[in-house]
Amino acid sequence: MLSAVVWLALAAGGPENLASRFHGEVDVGGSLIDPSMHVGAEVGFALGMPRLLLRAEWNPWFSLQTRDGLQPGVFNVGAGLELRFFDERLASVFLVGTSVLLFKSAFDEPGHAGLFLSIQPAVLRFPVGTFHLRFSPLSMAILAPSLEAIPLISAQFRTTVGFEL
Amino acid sequence: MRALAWVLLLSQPAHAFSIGSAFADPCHERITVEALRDTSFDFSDTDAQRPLKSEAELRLAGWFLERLGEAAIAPPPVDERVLNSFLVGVRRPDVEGWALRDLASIRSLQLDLDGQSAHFLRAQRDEGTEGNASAIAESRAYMLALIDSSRLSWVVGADLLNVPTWVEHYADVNVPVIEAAYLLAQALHALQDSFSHTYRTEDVRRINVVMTYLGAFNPDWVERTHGPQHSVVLDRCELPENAAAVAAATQASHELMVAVEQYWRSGNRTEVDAVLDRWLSLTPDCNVDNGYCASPTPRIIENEKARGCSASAGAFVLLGALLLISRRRRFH
Repeated sequence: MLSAVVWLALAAGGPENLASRFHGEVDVGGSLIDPSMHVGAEVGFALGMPRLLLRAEWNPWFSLQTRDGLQPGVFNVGAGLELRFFDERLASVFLVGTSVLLFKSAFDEPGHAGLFLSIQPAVLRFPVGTFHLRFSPLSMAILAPSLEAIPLISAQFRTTVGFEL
Repeated sequence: MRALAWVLLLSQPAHAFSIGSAFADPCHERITVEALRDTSFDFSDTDAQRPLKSEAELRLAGWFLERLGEAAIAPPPVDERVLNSFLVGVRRPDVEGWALRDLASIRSLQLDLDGQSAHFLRAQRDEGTEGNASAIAESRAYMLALIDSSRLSWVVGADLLNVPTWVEHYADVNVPVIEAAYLLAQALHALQDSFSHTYRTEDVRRINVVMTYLGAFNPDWVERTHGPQHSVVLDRCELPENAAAVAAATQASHELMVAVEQYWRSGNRTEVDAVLDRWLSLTPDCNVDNGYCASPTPRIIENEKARGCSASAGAFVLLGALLLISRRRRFH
């Protein structure tokens, strides 16, 4: 995926043109349903209307049934597309990738890997100096680090804020 | 967020000795595992009729044990399937198969007008001093019905029962349990609650009065008629003041387990009845006027409430001092 992005970037033109097509982002957020938080970093490359994205995030989970408190949760990596509308004030993001379990759960060991899916239908982008503040009031993420006999699936409804350069 | 925290705190799933959650110690689970020590539950006579234990069952039993608390509890001398059956069973009356965040379902379970005997509490009809005897009789009948069913299941060597159970982070987990142990565990839940839902004598052996949970939701509640209200203080097995009740609940649970195991094999229920007689007998003529025959239980509740109030008052004083300091700094 990374080589494909580099190849597309080289095909896109000279260095100035190239730099303007990249963006980077860091964000933080949480979910009350399936209580959790997430800290993520993202890079993107404009390829005409859609932007190709690569994302990595840490997604610790809160325990309600036990006194384990904040559990390490999962580490997610994914690739996808971002579409921007209304003079790039609004964006929609779709990502798919891999979710890796970071703790020993009732039925699964750390390191178990499965599916990561994220849909952000509406991300508001506000210009702040040379940055953009990004705010996603409600998005959905499916984390399924184990899809075996007893699947481990977390459906999170997230609120996220981030800075984009 | 603060409102959510209050909702979660006020809606703890357990309204008895607590079951394990982010907000409460796993009291029923600890008492049951401790009581299983020195027992000899052996289902090998009928194990051949059942499928072999799965890897998931072994993992779940280990996960349950790891979460019994900071105090290390040695694994009881029963296999993983038996342990799962007891732990899923003893949690069942408080949560059924619901997630702990399913507050509406859990609240409806707590307020079930016909379900109070599962938690050794008064039903609406259990009024006055006579209400103590009727509440005890109803809970005892509930326990004996479960114990009789458990014997029937043991005798026929019933198939494993798949019980929908909420296991954190997993949806739709059906835990295969041995029905006889699972039913006995639900009876144990009621027996254990008889130590957190009653005022008892100094030696914790006899019951002086049975408490009410429904009373807290009844605007016409009168202590003399409906009994003292349920107190979360008595649910907390980690409080030193409740140590005697917890020890007695563990002893009573162990005695009932041993007696039921004998009953399964012999068909003679005499020892089961004797255990229930020993721990569920009522001291006559205890009422609000004589301080429930000078039971020490109300003092435990009042002392703990006072401690909670003084801690809160201390926090307010500290907050006030911090505010004052911050105002002074701003003005200078």
